[in-house]
Amino acid sequence: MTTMEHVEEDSEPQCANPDCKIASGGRCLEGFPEASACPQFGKALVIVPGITPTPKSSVSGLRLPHAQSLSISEATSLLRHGPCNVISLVGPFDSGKTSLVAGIYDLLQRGPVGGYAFAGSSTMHSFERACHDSRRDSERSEAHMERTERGEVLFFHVDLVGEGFDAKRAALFGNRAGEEYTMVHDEPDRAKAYPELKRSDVLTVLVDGAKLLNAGERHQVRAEVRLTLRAFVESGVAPPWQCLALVLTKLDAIRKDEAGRDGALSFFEALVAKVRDDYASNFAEIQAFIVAASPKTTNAHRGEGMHELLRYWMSDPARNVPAAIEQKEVAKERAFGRLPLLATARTGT
Amino acid sequence: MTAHDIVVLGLPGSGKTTFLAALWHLLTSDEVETRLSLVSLQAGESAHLNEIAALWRRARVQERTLHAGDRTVTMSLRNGAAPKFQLSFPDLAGESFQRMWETRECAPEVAASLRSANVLLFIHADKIKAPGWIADDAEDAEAAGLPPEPGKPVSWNARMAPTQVKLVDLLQSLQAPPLETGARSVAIVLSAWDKAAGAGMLPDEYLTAHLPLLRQYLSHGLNKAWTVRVFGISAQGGVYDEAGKPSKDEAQRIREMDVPSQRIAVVSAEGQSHDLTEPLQWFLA
Repeated sequence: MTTMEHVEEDSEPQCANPDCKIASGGRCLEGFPEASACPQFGKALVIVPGITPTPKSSVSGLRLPHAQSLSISEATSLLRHGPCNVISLVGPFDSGKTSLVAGIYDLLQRGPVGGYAFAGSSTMHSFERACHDSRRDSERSEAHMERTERGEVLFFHVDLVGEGFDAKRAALFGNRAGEEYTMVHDEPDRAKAYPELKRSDVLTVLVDGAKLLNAGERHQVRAEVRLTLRAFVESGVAPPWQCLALVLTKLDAIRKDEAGRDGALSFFEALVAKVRDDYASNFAEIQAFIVAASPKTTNAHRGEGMHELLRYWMSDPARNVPAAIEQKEVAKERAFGRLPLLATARTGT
Repeated sequence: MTAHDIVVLGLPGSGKTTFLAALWHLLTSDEVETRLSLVSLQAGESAHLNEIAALWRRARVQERTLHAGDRTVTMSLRNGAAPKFQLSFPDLAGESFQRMWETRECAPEVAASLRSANVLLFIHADKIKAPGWIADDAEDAEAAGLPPEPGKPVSWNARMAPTQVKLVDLLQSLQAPPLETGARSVAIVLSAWDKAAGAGMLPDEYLTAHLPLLRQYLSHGLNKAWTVRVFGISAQGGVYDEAGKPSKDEAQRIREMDVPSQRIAVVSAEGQSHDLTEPLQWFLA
C-alpha cells in the first residue's frame, strides 16, 4: 500500500513549486521577471512525496498487476495489444493537466461520457489517487489537484467502447510535469526526448483560464502556447497526421469574474484563430474546447465541456487514414509498349 | 460423482456467510420447493454450517469471517432427476478481496479458490459506497444557502475507493494473469435486497443506477465468453439482532414467522421466489 503525506511550510514567503529556486535567490521557474507576479510565489510550499513502490507483504502471495500509472515501456506494450489513442497533455504547471484526466475518470463513475462507456483500466490506483483531492473523502473545502512530479512521463490508461461499437479502444494519457514542457521554449530539441509527443494522436495544449483573466498574464499565456507549438513543429515531434486540441481550462474561474469574463473568452478565440492561421498545415485538425474538469466554485458544473473533448480524443486516429496517391500514366518509351494504348484508343473511336 | 465448485466473492460485510447459513437451512428443512435438493446431510464443514444456520434461525447477525481460505463448504446435491453432484465453495473472508485491491497481492489459498469458473459475487445493496465530489456538494450547499464546511485534508488511501471501483478491479484481476482461467459465469448477488426493494427496481436496474461504472464494465469490459446474471437476494428478510445489543422488534417479527425459509426472497428478471439454489442452478445450466 502506498502512502502520501502533505507537509505545509508557511514560515516565510516562498514558492509553492518546490523546484523553483526563487527563495534562494534564483530565477522564477515560471519565467516571471517579478516574483510577486507569479501565482505560485508566496503560497505555502506543498511537498507531495513521490509514489512509493508497493511494499512486498510479509505473506508470500501472488503478485497482481500494480494498478499504478504506466511507464513508457508498459505503455508501449499496451499499444501492441489493440487499438489505442495516445493523448499528450501539454501545459505549464497548474494549468489543469491531471484535472482533465481525473475529470474523465470521475465522469465515467456516473455513466458513459460523450458516447463512450468504461471497459476497464490498468491504472485504477493512480486514477483514484488523482481524483482524491476533488472528492468528499479528502475532507477539503475546495477541489484541489496534486502536482505532477518531474521525471519520466507516466501514462493513465482507460479502455473505452464507443456507442454502437463492440470493440474496445484504449486511451493512454501522457502525464508529465508542466515544467518540463516549459523548458522546450529555451531548448526546442528537448521535445525529441519526450517520446509521448511524436506518438500522440491528439496533442492537447492547455490554456489556463484563470491566467487569461489577468491582463498582464494573458500575453504570456499566448506566447507560451505559440512557443510550445513552434518548438514541437521545429523539432519534428508533431507529425502531420496529429490532431491538435486547444483546451481552455478553469471555466468556473472565468465565469466568476464578471468584469474579465468576456475579455478572457475573446482572447482565447483570437488565440485559437492565430494558431489555426499559423499551424493549419502542420496538423490534421485543430479544435478548441472550453472545460471545467474539477471546478473550485459553483460557476460551472463538474465536467462541463469534457464530453465533447473525450469524443475528439477518441475519434479515429488520422494516422490510420491512408493518404490518396495520385495515379499517373507513364508513357512507355518503346513503341511496342505503347501498342495496348493505341488499341484502346482505336476501340474507343 | 461429478464435482462443481463455486467461488464466493465479496467485500467485507457483503452477506456471504448469511447466504450460506440460509442456504443450509433451506436445504435441510424442506420447507419450500427448491430447484436443487440435498442428497446427504454429510457435508464438508457441516458443524460450521449448522452453527451459522442456528444463528440465522434465531435471527442473530453472523460473526464476520476473518480466516482466509481455510474452510471449504461441500454439499452433495441433486438437480431434479439428474445424477447427484458435489458442490463446494470456500468460505473466504471479505478482507482477502479487500487486500487484493489494496496491496496488489493474493494469498495462495485464495488464488487456488479463484480458479473456479463459477463466481458468486456479493454486493450489499444497502452499503454501496458511492463516490462523492466537493464540487457537487458545493452546488448543493449553495442551493440550500449553507456555507462550505472547512475540514482538515485527509491523505489518499486505497481503502477509500468507491465500492464499484474495487469490484471492477476484482473482476479485472480474474481476467488477467496470474488468476486468469478462461470463460467464467458470474452471478451477481445484490444482498439485503429487502432494503433496496423499496426503490421499485429490478436487480439489474438497481445495479445500473447505483453502480454505473461496474454496469459499464460488465457490459463492455468482460471477455465475450463470460456470462453474467444479476439476482437480488434477501437471505435474512430484515434486520437481525447483534450480539451484546438489545433485541430489535424487526428481528422478533422475523423469528415469529411460521416458516423460516419464507424469510428468504430471491428476485431476478424471471420473477420472485424463496429459492436460494436458483443462482446455483444457473451455473449448472
